[in-house]
Amino acid sequence: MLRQHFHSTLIWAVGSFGVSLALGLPLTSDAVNQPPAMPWVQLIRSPGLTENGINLTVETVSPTTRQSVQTPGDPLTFLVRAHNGSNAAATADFTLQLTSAAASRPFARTMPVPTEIWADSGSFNLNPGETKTLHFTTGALPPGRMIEVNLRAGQTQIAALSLPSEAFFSSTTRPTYALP
Amino acid sequence: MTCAPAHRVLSPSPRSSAILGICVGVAAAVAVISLNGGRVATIQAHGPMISECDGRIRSIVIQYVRGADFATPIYRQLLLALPADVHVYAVCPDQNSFNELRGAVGISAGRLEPILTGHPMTAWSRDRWIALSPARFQAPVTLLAPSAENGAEIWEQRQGDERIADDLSHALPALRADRSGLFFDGGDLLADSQSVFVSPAAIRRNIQHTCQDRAELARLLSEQLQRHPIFLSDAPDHHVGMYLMAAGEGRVVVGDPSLAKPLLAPIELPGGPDFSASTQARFDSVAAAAAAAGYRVTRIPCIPSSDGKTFITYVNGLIDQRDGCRVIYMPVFEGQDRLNVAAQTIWQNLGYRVAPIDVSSAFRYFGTLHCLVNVIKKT
Repeated sequence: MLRQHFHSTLIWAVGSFGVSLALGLPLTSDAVNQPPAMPWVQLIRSPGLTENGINLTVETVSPTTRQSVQTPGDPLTFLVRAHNGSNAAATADFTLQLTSAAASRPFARTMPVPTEIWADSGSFNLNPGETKTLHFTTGALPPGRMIEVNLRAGQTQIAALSLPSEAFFSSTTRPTYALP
Repeated sequence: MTCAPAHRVLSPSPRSSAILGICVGVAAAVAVISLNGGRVATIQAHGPMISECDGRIRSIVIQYVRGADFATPIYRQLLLALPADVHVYAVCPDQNSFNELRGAVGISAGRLEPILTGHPMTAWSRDRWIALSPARFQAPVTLLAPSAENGAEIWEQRQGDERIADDLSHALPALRADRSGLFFDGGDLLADSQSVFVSPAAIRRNIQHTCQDRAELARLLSEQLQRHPIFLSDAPDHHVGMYLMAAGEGRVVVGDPSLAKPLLAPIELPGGPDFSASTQARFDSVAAAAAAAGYRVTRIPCIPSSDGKTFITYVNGLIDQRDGCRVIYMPVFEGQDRLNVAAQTIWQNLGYRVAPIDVSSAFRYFGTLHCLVNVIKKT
């Protein structure tokens, strides 16, 4: 009886070993060739900062995505939204700065240092839980440039918006490269 | 109550044999798979960002496009100076570009292994990706590319640059490419065996775009690069390798305009040299941040221009460590003999052999040797 049990167990063990290896080994071996599990990074759609308990965010009025393309010659319109999440009335002063930089040298390693082309400032006085917005319209945007809107309040500054000021390069200017 | 006969208690059923057999079989398989290393690879798919100053350079990547004449004198010198066992991959958009590069570098052309992309690109390799060392022996190197290239929306070549890491991983089986999700140029991050130094641009482009604050950015960088991040918040607004280089054994070399001022020979720079107190303070802030992190800091002459991007710098080199010695392929500048000698002496005093590479043709394009060359693998 015991011998029969031993043989039966051995058959099951060999079978299970084979099936487990067949299933498990390729999975784990292939893991080496899989992309590494990078920590998930999620884009923040409404960048902002907090000053005196008031949260300030910047949003383009239209369109509203980060990769929006602006038409050169048109102004950029955006709003600053303020929300007082504290339990007391508060005031937040802020400044806005619009900078632009052009990729004027195709062989250069980097974009040049951006230059300021517009600036403005504002202030919010909010009761607890209150939300207000202020709209801003810049001057005409220069063509072919990266535009950045910087928001500053207190000692904190963030690059709130970053977007190009013209439609993507036309296909007629795109060089073609033939591979052998 | 009656007791069951003893032989019935000991007698195994067919079901118990099956269960026991399955358990033994699965356990043995798990043991074999674990010995094979598969589970380790699943948990940790890549190692840390490779160090600038430690290890023997095994393979590098350069990029070239037709007309980028400023780069070829540097490639020619570097290929002659590099040990013969270093593999050199040349990423070009097409065969004509590669032929032009091969003709320009002369007798070392045979070292170049072409990788043709078929799309626009720039001639700057450093900023496209950073290399993460393999998690274990014979595992692939990971090329970690940023979420997007800065200015790609208006700069066609820069948009093509976004694809270089993938191009390389498709061409070379020993590589794999991944995207970080963070925004950076490769030059915004510079690592030694402990830390990674982070430029102001990498901080600015990520906070409130990919992470809430500096603490979250530090956590993401630590997890992805497996190095301790040191933020250079008040540094010059340029890539780290333009003003700081890791020198190994807890040392860094940091640029210092005040050391360069008395040694500078007349030279035309965009807007002139910038010896202002505010710019000096930016360089000093880098030295202070490194010192605060426990590094021994050596200062070296450096001249920023008033455009903020054109630097005469002696830290923008490549470091190779072999046979117990470190060599730096150090940028030098035509007509700046006093600065060149002073910088060379500083590196030699740190125990380095200095191999000078004249970068006069390139530095006006906002970068030099370190910016043109990226290192895939060190051992």
